[in-house]
Amino acid sequence: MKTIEEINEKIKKGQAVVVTAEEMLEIVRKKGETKAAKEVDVVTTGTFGPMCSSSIYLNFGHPAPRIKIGGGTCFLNGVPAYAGLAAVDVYLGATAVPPNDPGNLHYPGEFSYGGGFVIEELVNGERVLLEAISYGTDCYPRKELKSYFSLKDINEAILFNPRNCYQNYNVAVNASDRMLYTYMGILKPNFGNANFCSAGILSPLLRDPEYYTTGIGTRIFLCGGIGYVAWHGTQHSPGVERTSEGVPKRPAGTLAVIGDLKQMNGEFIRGASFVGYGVTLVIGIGVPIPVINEKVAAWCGVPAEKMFAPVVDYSHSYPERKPEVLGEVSYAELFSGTITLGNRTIPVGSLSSLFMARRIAQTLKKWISEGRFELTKPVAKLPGKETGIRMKGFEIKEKKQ
Amino acid sequence: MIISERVVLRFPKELVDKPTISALVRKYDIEFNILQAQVLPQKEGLMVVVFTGEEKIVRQALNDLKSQNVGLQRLKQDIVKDDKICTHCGVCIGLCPTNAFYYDQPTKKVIFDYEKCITCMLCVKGCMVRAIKIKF
Repeated sequence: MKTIEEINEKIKKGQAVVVTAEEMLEIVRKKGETKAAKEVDVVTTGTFGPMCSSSIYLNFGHPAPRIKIGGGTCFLNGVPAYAGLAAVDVYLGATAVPPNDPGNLHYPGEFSYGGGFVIEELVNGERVLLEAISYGTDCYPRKELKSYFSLKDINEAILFNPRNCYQNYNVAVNASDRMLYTYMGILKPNFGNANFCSAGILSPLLRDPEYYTTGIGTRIFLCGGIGYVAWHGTQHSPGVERTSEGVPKRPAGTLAVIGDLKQMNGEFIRGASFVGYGVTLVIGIGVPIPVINEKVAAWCGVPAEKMFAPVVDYSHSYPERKPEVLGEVSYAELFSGTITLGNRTIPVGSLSSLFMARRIAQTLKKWISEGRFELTKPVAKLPGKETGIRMKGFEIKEKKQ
Repeated sequence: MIISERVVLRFPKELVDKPTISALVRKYDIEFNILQAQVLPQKEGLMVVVFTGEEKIVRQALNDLKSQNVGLQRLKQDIVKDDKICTHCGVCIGLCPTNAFYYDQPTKKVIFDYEKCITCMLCVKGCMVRAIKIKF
């Protein structure tokens, strides 16, 4: 019905009709998918939540004399960075903690500092301490390097996240009689609370449930800058059970994303720590959905009442990797503040910020409406449900053969 | 004027086994609600109490406690949410036992109503960006 090229022509002329996923839901409800598809050109989505598989790689430039950090060791504000690359390239993950962090020795550990916080400080323009030690070579004679640097001092700083933007996620509860400290937050005993992590009807992959418009090469809003979908994310699991509308009922698709850290804005990328669990990074992502036909509009019209998340016990099923699910709850229920499980009514907390998800969808809408952001056609598709791919467990093998 | 005063009381160890609060409410016409109570390792007692009554009488009762050597601190500003740090995720909403946190509709910002707070501190631990702090 419409091509991405046609939509881009409208964007250039400032004539594209751009709405957020929340607005689109209303339009589809009132006018139906056919009319909605004709009227609307782009739907913007947004999500803002902790995403542990996030990281940066940096190239510092070469000091005089040169050092080969590659093969040596490197710390950024005391947090270990991976130094198994070339001379002055290093890689820092969001969950890294300083070697002297007591972890969960005094349970539950605080995890007050780590990779996620270093990344946030860099985005905010702060100076970070680089400490590197290496063995020295004829071409790279320096053995030690200690210097402060900020993002503007170095060549490249790239955010590269192997897995973000989970399409649907577990609702975590605690069936045991003790408090649990998890990556899904604090879980009170005896089903005292339930935590979920999704932007629901604003969530990028819940609005494009079959990866129809989102693929490799899709240009996105990434933490306040422009980024791209690099690949499908790790643990991408499109083959899970779905509703009749095609929306997955379990954690399913994921995205690997990449973007220039120097463009990003500290409001949309935040270091975070979970007591008893560790350090992570809160990431803001917005994916534009070109409304190329009424199929796209129909997916954007699936209401929260028809999208479901599994309730999982984090005292047993999750840590022991058991497949049991205690029930399914709709996103309408989750956003109402309580869920019902059997005869229990459980208060709900969210790890993902709806306030920020909206801000992201609205910001992306503004960018596109002002002609500052054009849409891209995916270079290749993400593996879809037809592949039957489901995330594997890891089976422990004690022998080499 | 009827007021509610939220205070942290610190009892020296020689007072821990005495019915101080019970005697106080019998002497003065006030109501009390114990939000938290514990005996610390050094045998000192710590109690978070709300006293409700006529302003003048509540003041007299609190002065009486002071004269008995009970440490006294107003609680009002104890737990604070820094809105410059808060991302409004709402993980505190499910944790709070007294519904002191809620979403403002329709902005979806998380609001903290400290009048409902019993300083259990679960939100302080549970906030992933450390937006909720204890102020002494």
